[in-house]
Amino acid sequence: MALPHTSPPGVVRVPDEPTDAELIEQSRDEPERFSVIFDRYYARIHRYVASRLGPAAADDVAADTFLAAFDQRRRYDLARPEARAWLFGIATNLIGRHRRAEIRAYRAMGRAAERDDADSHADRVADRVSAERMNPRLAAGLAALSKGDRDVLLLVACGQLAYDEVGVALGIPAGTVGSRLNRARKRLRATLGKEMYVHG
Amino acid sequence: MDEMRMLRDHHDAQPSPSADSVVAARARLAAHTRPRGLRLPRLGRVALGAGALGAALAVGLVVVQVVDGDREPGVLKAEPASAAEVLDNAATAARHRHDPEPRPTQFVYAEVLRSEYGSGGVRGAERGWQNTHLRTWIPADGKADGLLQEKRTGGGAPAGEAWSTSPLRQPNGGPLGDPNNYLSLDRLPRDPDKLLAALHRRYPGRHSADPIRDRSSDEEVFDGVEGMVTQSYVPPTLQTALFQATKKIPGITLVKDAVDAAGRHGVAVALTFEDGTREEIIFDRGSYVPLGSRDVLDDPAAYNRRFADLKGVARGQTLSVTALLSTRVVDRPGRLS
Repeated sequence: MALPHTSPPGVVRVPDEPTDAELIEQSRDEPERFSVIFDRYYARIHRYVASRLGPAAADDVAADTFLAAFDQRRRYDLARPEARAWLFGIATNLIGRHRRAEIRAYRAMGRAAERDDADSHADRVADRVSAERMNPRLAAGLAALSKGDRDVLLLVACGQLAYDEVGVALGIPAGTVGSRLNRARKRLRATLGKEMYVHG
Repeated sequence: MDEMRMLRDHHDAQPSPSADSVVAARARLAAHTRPRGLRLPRLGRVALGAGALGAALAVGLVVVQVVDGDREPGVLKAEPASAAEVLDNAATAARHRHDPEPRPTQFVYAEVLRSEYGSGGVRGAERGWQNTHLRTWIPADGKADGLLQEKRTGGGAPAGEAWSTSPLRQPNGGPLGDPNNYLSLDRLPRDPDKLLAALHRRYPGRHSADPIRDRSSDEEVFDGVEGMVTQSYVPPTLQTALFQATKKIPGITLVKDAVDAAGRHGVAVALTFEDGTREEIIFDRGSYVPLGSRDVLDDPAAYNRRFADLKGVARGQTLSVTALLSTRVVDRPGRLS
């Protein structure tokens, strides 16, 4: 089943370079070809995992993602030139094993930001975009979401996947992607509450 | 700043992986991809089949025996004795159903009730049932915007809550491309063996390097079939083939009485997953129309080894349940005719 597929903005592939699908197909007989997939995606997968589990756990989970992907390479749908959604799906699946660690990470990130309550408004704004700190309400809101809702939300917001890619990554219909995303956003907004308007 | 921007900023603020991390991960991959002699890739599946069978026997469910009855078409027994018989009946019933055959520019409307159980196990999570009423309009060819209407019902939702409406489209524009749009479903093969092979390609297993696997391909295929037949419109000839293909999934069991999200009782075909949950596709006892689906906590010990959110929840607890209330072909999103 070949779905129409578009490159994310800013990604331009040199015509001579093989597509992900071509590399994965070659890797079925020449395993070392898979290292090119690793080189293309490791940093992106690592960053996504770090945003959910923290940088320390990201080293292991991001590495595991490529081992698992290699094991599944024979089942890759070669009609999809880009492996992005597939890899994000595998990473998300592995993150699911660390559900408790993820919740703990959000709490820790929320607390790190809260300690600086006395700081100036400008500092707090800066904190919000620092790696290990997170707006406490945002952190609490994320921790309270169901895993399914959080997966969809973060694949769209952080992974920058399109609806059909999220569907491929999680194996769910686009209608479910839309409804989970709506619900997750609504709940986060409710948790963020007034603060959204103050700083919006 | 909206919540999507805040999440994106948090993500973008993560440092790049250290050089050490990249080198170590690349070395692990290289060691992993080095050929290690002959492997037996199917061994895992055989082991899984035996495990699922064992689990089914342990909980007293009826294990499928493949029965190849020469049943007369249209004669449906009231009390099926196996999951295979339920699927045979459902396949036969679907063969006699009319297909409205939507044109590419039309939309398939589906109305679904969904309830999800929250254990309240994670601090801040809601306890009890969350009920949602969903209506979706999916373009038959996947090439236009779809539409979603939803509202919460019961479970602490304000009475008379209005429908919230949102388009289903790609965030960056472009076609929706739902894998379950009518045309992509219609392209699937009708031969049960070819269909099963296509389903395994469509829903590959989710494995990790960890020895405890997440989802086998059989589990993913069963889940995929459940999604197709209980959440969207499936051409009747494909339904027939889907039910015949589902018969070939090892470990399927019969559940003699199951209730969907609309309170309708039926008979179900189920698969117990390695994670201890049992997924059921519920059929009407007379017409063998798919009514909905249900996830039940079947093996709390297996579940609790993996996850922490259902500690103390008893075996047999329903975790989520759906009901497909209606499907129809309409000309425009937002309309019922």
